[in-house]
Amino acid sequence: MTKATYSVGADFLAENLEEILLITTGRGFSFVVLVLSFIFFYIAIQLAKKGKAPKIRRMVAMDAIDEAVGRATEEGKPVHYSPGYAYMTLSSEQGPQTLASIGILSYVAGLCARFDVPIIYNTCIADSLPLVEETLRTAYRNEGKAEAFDPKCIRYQPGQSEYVSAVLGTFQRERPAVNMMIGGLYYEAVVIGEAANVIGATQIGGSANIHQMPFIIATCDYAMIGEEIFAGSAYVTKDPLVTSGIASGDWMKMLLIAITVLGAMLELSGVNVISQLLKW
Amino acid sequence: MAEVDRRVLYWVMFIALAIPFINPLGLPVPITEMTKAVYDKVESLGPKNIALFSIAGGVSAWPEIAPSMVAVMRHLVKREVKIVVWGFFTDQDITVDMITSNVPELSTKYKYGEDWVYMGYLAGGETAVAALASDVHSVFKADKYGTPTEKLPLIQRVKSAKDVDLVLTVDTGSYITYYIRHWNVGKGTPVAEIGIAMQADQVVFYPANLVGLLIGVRGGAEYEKMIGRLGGGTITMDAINISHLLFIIVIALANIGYVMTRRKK
Amino acid sequence: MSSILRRREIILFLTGIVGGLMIFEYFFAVKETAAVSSTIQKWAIIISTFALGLGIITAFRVHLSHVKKRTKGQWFFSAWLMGFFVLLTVIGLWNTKFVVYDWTFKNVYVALSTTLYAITGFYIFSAAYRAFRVRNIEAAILIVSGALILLRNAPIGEAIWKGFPILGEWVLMKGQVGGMRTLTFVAAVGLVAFGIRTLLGMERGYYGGGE
Repeated sequence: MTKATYSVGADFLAENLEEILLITTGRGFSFVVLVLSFIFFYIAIQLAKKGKAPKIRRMVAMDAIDEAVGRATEEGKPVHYSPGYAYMTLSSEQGPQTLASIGILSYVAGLCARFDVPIIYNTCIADSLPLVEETLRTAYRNEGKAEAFDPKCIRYQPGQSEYVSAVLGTFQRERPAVNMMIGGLYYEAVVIGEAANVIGATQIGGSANIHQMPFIIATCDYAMIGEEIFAGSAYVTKDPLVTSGIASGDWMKMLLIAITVLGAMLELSGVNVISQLLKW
Repeated sequence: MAEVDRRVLYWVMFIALAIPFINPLGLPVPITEMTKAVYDKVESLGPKNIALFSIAGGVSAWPEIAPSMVAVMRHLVKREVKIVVWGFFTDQDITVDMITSNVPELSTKYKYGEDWVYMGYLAGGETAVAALASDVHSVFKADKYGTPTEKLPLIQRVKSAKDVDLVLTVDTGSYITYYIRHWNVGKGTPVAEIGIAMQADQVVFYPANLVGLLIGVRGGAEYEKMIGRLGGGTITMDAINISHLLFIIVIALANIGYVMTRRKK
Repeated sequence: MSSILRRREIILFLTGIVGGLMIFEYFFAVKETAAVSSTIQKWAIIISTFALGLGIITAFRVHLSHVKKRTKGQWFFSAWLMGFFVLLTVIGLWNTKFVVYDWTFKNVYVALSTTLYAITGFYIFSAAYRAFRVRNIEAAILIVSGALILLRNAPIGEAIWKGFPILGEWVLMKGQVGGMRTLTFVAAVGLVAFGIRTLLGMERGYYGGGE
C-alpha cells in the first residue's frame, strides 16, 4: 500500500495492523483463507440440510473397493492394507494422510468383517497403532462380529525397509487377492505395487505425495491422486452432510485459482497488489 | 518384445550395471544451476557462520545421498564453517560415523563443541522441526554424548533458526518442506536440500524458498567436481549412464512391440 | 475406566481444543498461547517416542503367538527375531561400541537396508516396462518427457546429442513445475478441508467412531 493512495487512517491501520489484530507477519492471507474455508464449509452444510447438497463426482477408486473385497471373498484370500511409511504422523502433510487412510480402512474393515474376509494390516507407523486397532475393532463390532477381530492382524515393523520386506514376505506367503496402499507413500509404493502385480492382486492405491504419483498410477489398477484420499473416507459414508464438505474445498480452490490468475495478470501489468496481499 | 518376462529384464539390468565396473566410461558431468547455487552459497560462508546439517535420510539411501553429504561436508570444513548436526532417523549414528570417517578434518582440524557438534536423534517429525525453529534449547538439553548444552559453546550460539546461516537438509522424504515452512518462510533462514532422485519434485520450491538442490547421485557427482575431489558420486555416474540408457532402449522396444502387436490385430 | 476414556466425545473435545489452539498460535502473536503450544509440541514429541515402544509390544504380540502356536513355516523366524531383539537390546544397553554389536549393525543392517532400497530400481524398471505404453497422445508426451529427463540426468545424454540436456532441463525446471505446483496446491486445499472436517468432528473413521 502506498501513502499517496490511501488516507491517513488507512495508513495507520496498515502500519499497525499486526499489533491491532495480533496476526503474525506473513500469515494474514493464510488466516483469511482459513476463515473463508470455514465459511464455505458452513454454507455447504446448510445447503445439504436443505436438501440441496452439492453433487460430487464418482470416485472410481473408492467404488472399486467393494468390487475388490468381493473378489477376495470369492477367491478365499485375504485383503492386504497398508498406510505407507508416512514418516510418522507428526507432520502436517503425512499425518492427515495417515488419518485419511485409517478412515478408509474403517470402511474396508467393515466390508471384510461382513464377508468374513481376513484383513492383513502392515504398518511402520507406531503412533497410529492405537487408532488402527480401535478402528478395526469398531468396524468388526458394527458388523456384529466383534469376536472375529484378531488384533494380531496388525503387524508392525520399526522402519521403512523392514516394513517393505515384511510386505514382500506377506505377499509371497499369504498371497492376498487385494492390495490397498493408501496414505503417505514413499519408495515402497513402487516396490509393493510391483510385488502385488507379480502375485496378480487387484490394487487400489492413493497418496498426496506427488513424487509417488507416477508409481501409483503405473502399478495400481485404481489410483487416487492427491486430495482424493482426503475425500475418500467422506465419500464412502454417502452422508450428504459429510460429502458437502468436499464441495466446499472445491469452492475454495476455485477462488484461489481466480486470485492466482488475476494476480499473474496484474503482475504482468506491473501492478503488485495481489502479491503484496499474499505477503500480508 | 511387448511381453518379456520381468526376470529377463532384471538380469539384463544387472549385467548392464556390471559393465561400468569392468570398463568405466568416465563421461564428464556438466554442472547444473541448482547444484551451483548450493555451492555458491556454501562458498559465501566462513568461520563466523553456522550451518545446520540435518539428517533426515536413512542408511538405505546412502548410494544416492552419501556422495553429496560427504562432498558438502568437505566444502563446509574447507570454508571453516561451524557445523551443527542433528537428525530424525534412528540409524543416523551410522551416517554420522560414515561422514566423520570420510571427512577426517572433523576430528583433526575441528574442535568438537566449538567448531562442530552432533546433537543426536530427535523423534517428532514436523513438530520437532517447528519447535527447533523457535527454541533449540528447549528441545535439546544435551548432545548425543550426554554433554549438557551449557558446556558446548557452539550450540550456545544457536538459540533458534535465526542464528543459523544455512540449513542443509539431507532428505529422502518431506523434511525439506518442514524446514521451508518453519525455518525459511517462518524465520527467513536459507535452506538447501541434499536429496534422492525422487526429490526432484521439490524443484517446485526453487528458487523462491530453496537456495538449491543436490538431486541424487548426479548432484553428488557435480558437487565433487566443483570442490575438486572426485568420489563415490562420480564413480556411480557410470552406472547411472548405463541404467538410464538401458531404460530408454527397453521402453522404446516395448512400445515398438506394442504398436506392432496392435497393428496385427 | 478405559471405556469412559474411549468415549468419542472426549476424543472430539481433545481434537478440537488442541487443533484450535495450534491454529490460534500459528496465526496470532500471543505469547501465552505460544508457550502452551510449545509445551504441547514437546508432549507430541514425547508421545511419538513412547509410540516406538508400543510398536515393539505390538510386534512381539504377533511373533509370540506364532511361536506359541508353532505356526508352520513361520514360528522359527519369529523365535529368531525375538531372540535377536533381546540379545541386541541387552548388548546395546551394556555397550553400543561392543565390536560384534557395532559390526552387525553397520555391516548387516546397512547392507540389508541398502539392498531393499536398491530393489526399487529393478521394480521401477519392470513397472515402467509394463505400464509405459503409447496408448494415446498423453502417454506419448509422458514417455518423451521422461526420456528427456533421463537423458538430462545421465551425462551420456549430452554425449549423444547436446540438445538432450537442454530439453531435459527445460522439462524439469519449467515444463513440469506448473503441473507439480498445481498438484501440491490442490492437495493442500483438500488437506485443509479434511482438517476442518476433523476439527468439527465430522471425520470419524480414524478413531473408529463410525457409528
